[in-house]
Amino acid sequence: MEFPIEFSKVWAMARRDMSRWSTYKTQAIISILGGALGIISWGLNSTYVNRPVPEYNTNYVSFLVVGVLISSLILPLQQGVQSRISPFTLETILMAGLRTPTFILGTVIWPYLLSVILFIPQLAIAVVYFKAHLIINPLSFVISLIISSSIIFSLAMISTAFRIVTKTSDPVTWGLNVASSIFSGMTFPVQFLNNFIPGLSNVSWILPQTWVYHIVRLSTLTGASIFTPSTAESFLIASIFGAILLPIGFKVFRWGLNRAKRDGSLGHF
Amino acid sequence: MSDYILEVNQLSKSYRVYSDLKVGRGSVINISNFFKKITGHGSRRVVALDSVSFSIKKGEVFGLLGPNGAGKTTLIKILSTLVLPDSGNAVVDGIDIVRRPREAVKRLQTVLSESIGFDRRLSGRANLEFFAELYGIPKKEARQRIDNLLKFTNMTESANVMFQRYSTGMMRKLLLCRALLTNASILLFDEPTASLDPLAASEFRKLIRNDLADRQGKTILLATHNLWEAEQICDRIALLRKGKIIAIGTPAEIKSMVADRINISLVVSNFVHDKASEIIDSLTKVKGVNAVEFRDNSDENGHVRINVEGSKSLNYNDLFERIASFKLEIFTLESLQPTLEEAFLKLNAEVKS
Repeated sequence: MEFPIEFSKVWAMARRDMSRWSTYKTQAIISILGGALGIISWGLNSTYVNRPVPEYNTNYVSFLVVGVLISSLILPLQQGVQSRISPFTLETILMAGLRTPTFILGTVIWPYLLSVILFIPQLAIAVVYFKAHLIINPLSFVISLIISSSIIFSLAMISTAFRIVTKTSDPVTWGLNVASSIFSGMTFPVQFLNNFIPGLSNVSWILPQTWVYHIVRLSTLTGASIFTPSTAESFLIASIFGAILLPIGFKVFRWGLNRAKRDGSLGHF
Repeated sequence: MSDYILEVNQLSKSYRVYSDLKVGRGSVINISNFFKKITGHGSRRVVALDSVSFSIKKGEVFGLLGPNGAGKTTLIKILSTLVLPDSGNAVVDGIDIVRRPREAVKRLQTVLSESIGFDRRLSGRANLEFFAELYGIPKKEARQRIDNLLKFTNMTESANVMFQRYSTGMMRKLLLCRALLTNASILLFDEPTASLDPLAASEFRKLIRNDLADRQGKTILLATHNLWEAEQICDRIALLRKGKIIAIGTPAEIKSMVADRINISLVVSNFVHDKASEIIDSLTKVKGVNAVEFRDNSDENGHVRINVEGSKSLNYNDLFERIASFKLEIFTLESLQPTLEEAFLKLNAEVKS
């Protein structure tokens, strides 16, 4: 059986995107500056409203800065495929006979690598200027990134599938973004939702994005080891989300492609 | 093993028409339209292809000829696995395109007129190198092949220029280079010379016919609405109208389908004017001949033009035997056939009526 991902082709797509990115010099400089300024802006805000965050045994600056960093790391995965699908590119790439995983991974790999590159100076700013207090467990951190990537990658495939069918905005992507901004706990601990409607935070825990923020925060703010039972449980639940969503993501993506092929609308956007 | 490298069997395709999706209707997220779009309910359909069947032999240049909306692009896109047919199938080099699309698409290359797919910020060469990697061609071999293809299409000098600076003709040539990267034996072209200036169009036609078909033995399927182009390039042609094949054959065969009258013009020498009426009477008696006329304006060599008008059942042997019996020597012979355009219009009108 052939391996489903052809890494040389994924790398070729990444190099092409990197070359294109480097030709837009102004945009390249702005995206680097934007990353730094973004974290400074969030850092200032969180310093102003600083308060303890007992859920992760840390302060609000550290909590928010990590949340923003996670979002800047995972957002390219969620938006990567959709924003980069252009009709003509899609048709041509598909005619090259690429496998679906190769196509998806190849499409998002450069934006993801770029966000990883930008993540390092952002992290440095957060720690040096805003005194974000990070206690990183390297093993937990790496595993949390792998699990998070598979969850976000799956959601990206699902929303991309609908985007291929509907061409513009679609309720699925919109729903994912709304759920993410309100319930996933990027800027506040999800338990805070219970102050408005008791039990509302339960909604958060059925959303995969919440687990993405949760496990990355556990591994970067509390230094939790995946071998401690409570952390292991959180990682296990997040992994189950990833394991279920990944095949669903592929299936839905294929459905979207076939739907567009049946409609004859693959080249329409 | 089939003699044909590409077989299309009873291929049908219809599209949904979302007539109620109006521009500026309101919200970006319209739930009702969204579900209509993904379920397909509440929409009418238009037929793009209706039981289309044909086969193409290895090395043949086959033309799909028809007006805009005849179904040519749909057919090309189905063969390129970009559109799924409603029914029927197509077999490319023994591989079913619906059941095994990823393998089938590797057997052919498509040059779609509107589907560029190149990165505008990269050079022509960098774009080709990228696609060579996607096609899985080893780096060294790819470099050599790209050099050869750029040379073949006279693009070497502009190879390192950013794609967005290319003219339409250069873009089309780069599309051809990309199609030839894999050395696929089957090439599909959709309106290859559309929007090219006459010089570039002529150059492109020569590339297709002389170099790709005649020298390299590629099998070519060419969709065009340019009748003259089809006649110049194609060995056989299928005429498409509203998704149906209305005629198929060589250009000569298609023309003969509508030629209910045959007009032959002969220039002969040794014509004896005293025997003019005898000759005309004799030729008129040939089976299938309706009328014979000669023009009494012989030139200084004594050449006389005789025009014979007949039906499809004209007995050519008898005609030429009678000409020989009067010791007439045929100097030139011209068969006046309808043009492909006349044939196309006539066949179209017949189907319409």
